[in-house]
Amino acid sequence: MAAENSTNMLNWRARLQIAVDAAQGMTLVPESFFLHFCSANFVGLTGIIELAGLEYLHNGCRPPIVHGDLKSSNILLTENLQAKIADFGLSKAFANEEDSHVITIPAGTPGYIDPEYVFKLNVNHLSQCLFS
Amino acid sequence: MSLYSVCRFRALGNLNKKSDVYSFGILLCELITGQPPLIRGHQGHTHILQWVSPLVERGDIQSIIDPRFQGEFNTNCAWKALEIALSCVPPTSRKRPDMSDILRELKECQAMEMSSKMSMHDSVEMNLVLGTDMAPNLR
Repeated sequence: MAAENSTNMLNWRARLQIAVDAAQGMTLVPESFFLHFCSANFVGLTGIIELAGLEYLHNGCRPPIVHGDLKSSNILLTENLQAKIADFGLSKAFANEEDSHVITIPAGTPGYIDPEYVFKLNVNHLSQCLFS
Repeated sequence: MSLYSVCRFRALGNLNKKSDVYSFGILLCELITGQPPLIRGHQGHTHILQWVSPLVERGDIQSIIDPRFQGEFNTNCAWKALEIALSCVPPTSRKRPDMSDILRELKECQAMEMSSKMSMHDSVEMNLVLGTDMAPNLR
C-alpha cells in the first residue's frame, strides 16, 4: 500500500479511490486473460500474480472467483495511484454460486480472515487433509 | 507442492464470496483509520473492529479517521465510508452485502466527497490563482 509521493501519505480522496478501484476492477486487464481466468477448467492459480477488482471476480466471472487472501499488502498501486488487487495464490473458482464446504482449514491472513470461516474449522477435516 | 500449501489450497473449499467481503471491510477500515488490522498494544494485539466499535458508539469520527488527514475530509462522507466498511463485517456471512452493492455505495460516497467543498489545500491554491488574476482589477 506504500506509495511514493511528496508527503508519502495518501490523502482521503486517494484512499476512497483505492477502495472503489479495489472493489471495481477489470478496467485495465486484458480480456484474453480473463477468458483464461474464467474458463471452466480453472482450478487455482497458486503463485500467479495478476490484477483485478473484487466485484468483477465475484460477479463478472463465471464461475465466480473468490480471492481468499485480500489485504492491504495485496493491493498494488500504479503510478497514478490506481489500485489493483494482486496475488491470487489462494483464489479459487467455484462450479456454481453455492459450492463450498469441502475441507475447512483457515487460510488467509490474521485480522482479515472471515470469523465464520475460522469457526468452522473441523478436526476431522484437518486429519482428512493431513493424512490423505 | 508442500503439504502446507496442499492443505491451504484444499482449505479454500470453505471460502466463499462473503469471506472476501469481510476482508474488504477490514481493508476499508484500514484505509479510513490508518490503523493496521491487528493493532499492537501493551496487552497484545487488538483487532481493528474492537478498536473502532467503542468510538463508533460514541460518535467520535474525529478519533476514528486517520489523524494524518489533518481534517481534510468530509465528515458525512467519512461516516458513510465507515458505515459501508462495518456493513461488510458481521460475524454471520449471510448478513454481509454483495460486492456490487458495496461498489455502488462506495461510488455514492466518492461522489459526496467530490461534490463537497474544496479541500483546504485546493482552497489555498485557488486563492493564490485568484489573487494574481484579480490583482489588476483591484487597483
